Amino acid sequence: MIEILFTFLNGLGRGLLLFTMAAGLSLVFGLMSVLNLAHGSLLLLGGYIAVMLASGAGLAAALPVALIAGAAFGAVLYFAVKPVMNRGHLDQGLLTLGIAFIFADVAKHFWGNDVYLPAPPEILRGSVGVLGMQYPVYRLFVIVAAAAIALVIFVVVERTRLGAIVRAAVADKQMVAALGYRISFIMGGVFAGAAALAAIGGVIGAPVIGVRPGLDTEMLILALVVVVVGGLGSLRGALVGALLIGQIQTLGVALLPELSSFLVFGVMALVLLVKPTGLFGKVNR
Amino acid sequence: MSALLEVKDLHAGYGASRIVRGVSLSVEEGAGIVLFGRNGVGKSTFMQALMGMVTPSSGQVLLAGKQLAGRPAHEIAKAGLAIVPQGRRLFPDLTVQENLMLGIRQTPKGWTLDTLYELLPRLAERTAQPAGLLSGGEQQMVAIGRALLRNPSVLLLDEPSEGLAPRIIAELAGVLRTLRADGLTVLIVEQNLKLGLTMSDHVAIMDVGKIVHESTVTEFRRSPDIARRYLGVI
Repeated sequence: MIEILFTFLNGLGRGLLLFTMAAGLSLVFGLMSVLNLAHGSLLLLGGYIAVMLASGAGLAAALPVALIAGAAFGAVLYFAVKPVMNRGHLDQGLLTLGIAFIFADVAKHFWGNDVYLPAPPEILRGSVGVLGMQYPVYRLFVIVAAAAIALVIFVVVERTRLGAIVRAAVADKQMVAALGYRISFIMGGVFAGAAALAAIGGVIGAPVIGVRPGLDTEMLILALVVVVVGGLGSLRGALVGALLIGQIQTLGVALLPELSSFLVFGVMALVLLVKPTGLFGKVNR
Repeated sequence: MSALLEVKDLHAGYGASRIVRGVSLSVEEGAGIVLFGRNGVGKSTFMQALMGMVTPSSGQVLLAGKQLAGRPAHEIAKAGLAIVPQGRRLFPDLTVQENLMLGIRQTPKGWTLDTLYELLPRLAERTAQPAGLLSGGEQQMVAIGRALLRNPSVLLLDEPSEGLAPRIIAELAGVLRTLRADGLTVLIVEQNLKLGLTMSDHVAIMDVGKIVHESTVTEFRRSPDIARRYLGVI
């Protein structure tokens, strides 16, 4: 019974981490109808920043660095994608996938094929007793930190004027422009913000998931599953989808190990069959 | 003295189809001009071209002497034009308050949310509702409120009465007359002659992309054959 609780906690942390990635992917898609296949690279970027700084300045110092580096990478991605914005998902997919390949090779050049597990800050090491068993403190921290990030995302998008502008632009960009807002700033800003979130997710998750080549595509595919299950462009959908996929992954490995790699995609197929727009999706694109 | 809004030989359209074919029109400060015309003669395209929502192919749009033709919509909005577009184009998932908030551009003596809610008290009761769930008349009021909060020097209204019940149109006319009495400069496209005339002092009629008639409202009322000839009404 306790093992199930721990599996649940692991899944919760994994799901919330996935949300920091999926939220941005979904927002960018909702606003610009751009499928950014380089989104996983941003998580990997955050991960390697964590690796570089954890042994020296500490993991906490990696957060602001990842925020800035992620936003900058996101802004570059926006300018790269801008010319193919109206050219359909295939062109955007090929372009962003190409950028992801380039980044993966550059990263491999610097960090090789090793798996890095950067050390958490001193006070987050060790484990605490939960119902008589020991659970790593850092894993609890991942849950709290990622939940706090999710909360900030929701408050900014749903409760601020800035968020209202973004949501309005999702509905009708031309009308938002006619109210005096520069659409390219809004889109570039959302791209940069989404990128920064993924990079921060990479820092927070690094000590748990292990930074290595291939992590970018692995997480990208999961995030894509999340937004498909939750509904493209829906923040609420991304959260529910991320929590669901997080649980299915960890519970699957614990309970049905031989089926675990199939389960996530099985759920996605099932959702697509029953509700093609995803759980919270409105428009069938 | 030149007009506040001066349109000279404006051409606009979509791709190869030329819809607005050389429109010239002056709007004096404080004036109300109604633009009539049959369906499909280019009135909405003209309004969108003024606002930069459709890019004009040639011609000039001068607002207080500043050239706006060819500028992007957000710059035109900042220069002082605001539009209540055809079909209202509210953001349906945003609340009434959020829709209005997006319009806010503060000026020393202009509209604020508070003064707007005084003018349109029914919206004050619906601030937290998604705009998409309001009635047609209420949605139109939100669209007008959103544009007013921009505190524009010229307000463009594109068929505000479209799809509304007569009782609601009368209410709308009351609000628009109040705004005109306050000295707001308005260019309105309307199908409803009564609404259009009640709030304007000048009439322009558009046919196949051009202005074919211009007069004061008094002159227009005195010569019923103008309306018969261009609009097919008595």
